[in-house]
Amino acid sequence: MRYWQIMFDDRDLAGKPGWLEFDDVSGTNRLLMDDGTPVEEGVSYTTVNTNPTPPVWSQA
Amino acid sequence: MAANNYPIYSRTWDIQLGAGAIIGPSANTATDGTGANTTLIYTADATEGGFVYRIILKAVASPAATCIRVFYCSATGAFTPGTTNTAANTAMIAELTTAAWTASNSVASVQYEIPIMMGMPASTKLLMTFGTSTGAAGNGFNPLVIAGKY
Repeated sequence: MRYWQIMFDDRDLAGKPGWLEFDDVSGTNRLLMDDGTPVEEGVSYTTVNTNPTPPVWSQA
Repeated sequence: MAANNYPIYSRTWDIQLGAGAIIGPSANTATDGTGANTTLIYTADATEGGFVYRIILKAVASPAATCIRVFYCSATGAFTPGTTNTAANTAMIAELTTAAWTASNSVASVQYEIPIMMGMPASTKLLMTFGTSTGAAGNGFNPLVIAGKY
């Protein structure tokens, strides 16, 4: 998996950090909260870092 | 009997430079037209409306793969992203998948065009969102809307 750090821009997530997770095998991606919880609702976000240290929970 | 039996034509071109800025690094996963990261790319003539032919998109720098969405918004006043665009007045009319692109001065980037071919009532709008961020600031697209004013 590959990760970008993002910041949510609206709804009840505004101002909170999160992650954009890329699955390069399937070509899909998903949004995650900072603790790794998937975000299912439609939400706006902005990329903060495209080359961060992957989140700790992704290496467990 | 119909009020008008004659075709109407644009009186002048109306080329709008979308947001006039690179959009894409800020994304919006909502598909109902809502959300803060929704960009106004076209506003129809305030008196007679207009006709939108197409939207042209060329990569700026090195955007990541994404899904570009175009929405029609019936609101006619000032546009405030995330406030004006509600599910009640905004609906998706087109989607386009764009591949990742690495900037090059020897190979041309893909030219994307989204056909719209739709008459627009006065002051109504077209909006654009990106389903996945196109990367760091400066990597994305600056849409060009080809339209005419009635």
